[in-house]
Amino acid sequence: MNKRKHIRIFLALALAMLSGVLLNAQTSMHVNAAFMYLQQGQIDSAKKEIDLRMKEPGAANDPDSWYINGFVYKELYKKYENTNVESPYRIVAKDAFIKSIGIDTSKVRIQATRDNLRYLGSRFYNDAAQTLDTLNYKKSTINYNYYRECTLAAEPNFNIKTKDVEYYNALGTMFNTAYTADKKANIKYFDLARDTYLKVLTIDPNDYKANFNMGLLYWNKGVDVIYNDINLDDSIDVVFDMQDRSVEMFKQSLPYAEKAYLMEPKREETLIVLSGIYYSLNDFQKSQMFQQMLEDLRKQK
Amino acid sequence: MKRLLVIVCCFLLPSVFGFQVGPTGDANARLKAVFLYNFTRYIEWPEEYKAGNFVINVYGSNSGLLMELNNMAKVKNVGSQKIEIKQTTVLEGIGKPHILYVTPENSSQLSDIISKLKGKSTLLVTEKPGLAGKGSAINFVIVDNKQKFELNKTNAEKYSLKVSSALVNLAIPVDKDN
Repeated sequence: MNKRKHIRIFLALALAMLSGVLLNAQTSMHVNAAFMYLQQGQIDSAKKEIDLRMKEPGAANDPDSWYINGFVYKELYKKYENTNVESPYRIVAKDAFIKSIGIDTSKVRIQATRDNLRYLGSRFYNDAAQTLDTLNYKKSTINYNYYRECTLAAEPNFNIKTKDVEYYNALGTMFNTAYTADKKANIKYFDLARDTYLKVLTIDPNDYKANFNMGLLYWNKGVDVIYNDINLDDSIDVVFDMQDRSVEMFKQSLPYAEKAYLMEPKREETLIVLSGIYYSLNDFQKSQMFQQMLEDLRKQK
Repeated sequence: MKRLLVIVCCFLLPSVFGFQVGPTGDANARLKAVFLYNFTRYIEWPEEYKAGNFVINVYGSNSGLLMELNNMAKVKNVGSQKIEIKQTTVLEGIGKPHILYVTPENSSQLSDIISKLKGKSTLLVTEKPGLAGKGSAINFVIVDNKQKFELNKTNAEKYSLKVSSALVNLAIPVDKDN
């Protein structure tokens, strides 16, 4: 089945559903006109009609109008802004569907609205992933929050916490990767990575990845202080100050790495990090203990 | 839906494995190298040691420190002297360096090392608790998880080395009776 044919069938089915959801509604002239234009594939005319309708006094509390409003703008998005990660049409569609579902009593239409919100949510989510980079991360987070809105409006009992943890861990790692790539030029990404992982830990203090990454982040930072911030010409008192800062970072890394270890004691990377942190803290006995555990674990594999 | 699933996987993977596990360098070794270089600015060697290369010899195995010292030697001098890094694993290889760093593993040979250094102007640097009281001039120690150093000025002066008061103030003092 080619793509165009597929889209036509999908639109026909959506319109059939649309006519079903409008059956019980007290529609306005503009809603009916918008619907008619939709059936004829005249999406721009449908927009004019629904825009007029939404300015009428009764529209704000009419789920029918909000639903058609959402549907028209969803189609506009698909037609004109399908690749625009900041599509204004899509945002209008989202808000309209959310408004509709919030005041709706028609089970049939609520189901249709949920489907539309799920569709929009998946598009927001895709764009959140697509823009997960240093240039576009603000757009990514905005789109992720739109995804959240759509998902929770469609399924209020959805376990969004799991998705939040997943998203913010990925965001934190993107920041961390940027910081690691150029520590001097990208110093701001250290703070962004730290704040993002901390956000994950406020959502779920027992998330392994965020704990591990926080431990790793601070450990790396402590070593960076020694390597990047100390010049060979610095006097000894300056070196002592830098060392204090570095050790402070190592100490901050420890509780996160230890928690990650308690959660996943058989993961190599946790043992590597713990052994390294203790080494950096000049606690060679504990460093060696975790090194031995790592070697034992590798022998078991 | 297929695309969405692929993206979900992308979210999951980099959150742990997106970057290498651990830093690239050995911060402890780097600090020791920085301190060793710094000592050259606070200690004065006799005239006859101010010509030729400035030699730092490492007695024992410490690949991290050797790497850091070699990196340092590429970009720094001591006055007009080029820094030369040496390593030996045998007592006979100690020679007549400006600085001799003895690894903790070789610390038990301290009295033999001191005998070898007799009559030379070598700054003897060790790294084991108590050694500043047993003959070394500078002894690296760990205090509150930090790398510090003890200084036994008397021991340094036995080798005709002049120690600045600034270094005395920065070090943990150790007198000869400790």
